[in-house]
Amino acid sequence: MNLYEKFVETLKSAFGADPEKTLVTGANVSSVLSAEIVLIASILIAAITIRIVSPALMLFTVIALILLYAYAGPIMPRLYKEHSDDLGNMMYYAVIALAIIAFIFYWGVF
Amino acid sequence: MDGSIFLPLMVIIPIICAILVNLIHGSEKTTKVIAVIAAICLPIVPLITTYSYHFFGGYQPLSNGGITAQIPAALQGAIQGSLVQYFHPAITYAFGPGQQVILFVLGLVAMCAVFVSIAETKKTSGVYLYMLFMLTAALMAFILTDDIFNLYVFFEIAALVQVGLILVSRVRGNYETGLKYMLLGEIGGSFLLLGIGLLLGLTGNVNISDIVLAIHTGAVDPTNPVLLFAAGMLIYGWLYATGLPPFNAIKSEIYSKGLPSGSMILQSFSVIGCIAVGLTIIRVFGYLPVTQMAMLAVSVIAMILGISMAMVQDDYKRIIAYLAVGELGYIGVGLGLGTAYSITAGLFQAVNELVVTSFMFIGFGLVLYKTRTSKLSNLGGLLESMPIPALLTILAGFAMAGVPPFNVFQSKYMLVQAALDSGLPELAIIMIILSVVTFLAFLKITYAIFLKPKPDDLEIVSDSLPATTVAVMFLFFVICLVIGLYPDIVVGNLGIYALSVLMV
Repeated sequence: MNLYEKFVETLKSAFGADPEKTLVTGANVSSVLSAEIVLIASILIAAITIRIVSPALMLFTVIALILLYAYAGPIMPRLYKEHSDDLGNMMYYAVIALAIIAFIFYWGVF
Repeated sequence: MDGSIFLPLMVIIPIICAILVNLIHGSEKTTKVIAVIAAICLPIVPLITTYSYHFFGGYQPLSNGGITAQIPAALQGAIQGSLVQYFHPAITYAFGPGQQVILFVLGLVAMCAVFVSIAETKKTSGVYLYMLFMLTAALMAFILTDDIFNLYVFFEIAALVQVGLILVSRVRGNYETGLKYMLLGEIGGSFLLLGIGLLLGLTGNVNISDIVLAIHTGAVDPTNPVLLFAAGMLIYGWLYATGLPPFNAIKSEIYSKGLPSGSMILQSFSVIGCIAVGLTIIRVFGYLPVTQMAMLAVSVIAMILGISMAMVQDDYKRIIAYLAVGELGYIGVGLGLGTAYSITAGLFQAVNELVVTSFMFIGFGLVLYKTRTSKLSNLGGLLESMPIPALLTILAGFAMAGVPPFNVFQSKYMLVQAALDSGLPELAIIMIILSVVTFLAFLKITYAIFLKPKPDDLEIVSDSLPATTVAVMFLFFVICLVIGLYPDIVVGNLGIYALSVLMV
């Protein structure tokens, strides 16, 4: 099975209830593929800004992100599932964000 | 006549109109007349108001002539030369060139929302108009107020009205969305209030200028951990107000559950909330590099997430909603870079965003009006049945993506320039890539709705399109084009506002 077919299979399982019967159109595949590439490219480019803090940390982060993607990709279907309208998910991320902000501002400023 | 007397009217007129249309909602004709007159006033009042301050109750700072009550001589001696003489004893509204531009555009958007609402509903609802006017009043106050607690009060009013706008939309799943928004608002709003409370506790003041003065003159230790924690809480409240991660999912959901006129005002709340709370944070905590870094990081994540998620949706309302959230990230980047030029660019992007997103919500609202569906897979062939609105909608998409000669091109160009000037070319590259992808997402919608062959089972309503709505689209198109061709008519004024934010 080539990479494209693997990708389509992942899409079917993410966007359709029945992977065997779900029709995934070319437009859908190209949209998700574009989103996937943009997501990865943008995150990697954004990670380069860590050079302001420390070049070594930037290098480590970029390599870690690439390895993480090789292990966890494709990400977009997962992100789509996580980004659902489920209140539990929204609350979870709201609390996580609050914890991160409180941590950074209370202990990490100076 | 002294134009400064109109300053509080920018908030008072929509509030009084909201109360009136709600009280007399049984009389449809009178409701419409009052609503139309008040709506026309909304963009006019900022134009005739002179740049000034308004001190509620007439209570000015002592250095300005002071309060009228007699102060004992011994106390006066103690106050003279101290910070207290500069403190504002009452709520203060400030109105300058930047506020004028923002409030004028906001007034135009609110006016158009009222017109579209009246044109697209068979029976004009006084209750619905009440909410449109009330939310407009709250947004006007956001920009004018120099009092952080007053900002919070209007913020809460706006949040409640937003839930109301969702509840009356009759879109499937609207009650659930309204409830979810209220629950998440409990978290975001509460922590914003906590931040304000901590600031009040440390500085003894809720006036933003006074808080800034207290911190920068050393009256309050700028490294006090409680103050830093307050900064974090305000940032969290900013995320909630703007709909940046982790609140982007609920924001996009509420946009998709509103009527087109409601969605216009709902997105205005996000844009105005973003700049009002964001500028407050920059004014008070601009000395902390971590504040700017946090704002930048969240804004970049919002841009990436919003625009990526837009690509994978099958519902055009959700696509626009995610794109709108992504575009808010651009404003955040402008504010987060923290220079006068970048803040000007961020404010310029905010003004453009107000117009362009409203333009798109109306355009796609017409698609919903004709087809009663928002699923891309069920749509097609609409170019034939609504050619002029289709063309205008496509142009709105071009404007949002930053295609010249429209307004967003100018603001995004300024943002890219600001990122380069700040030594962050990576941000400039990300912004350009995401603009291209926004264009791509928009091409997808254009093809699916207008160009693809019409599905056999798609029923198109034969009613003619409301002329008022099409006229409003023309108005937005002209605004996009004029600001795109002559950006200096707004940028100069916004630049003055940006400089005033950075001045201590």
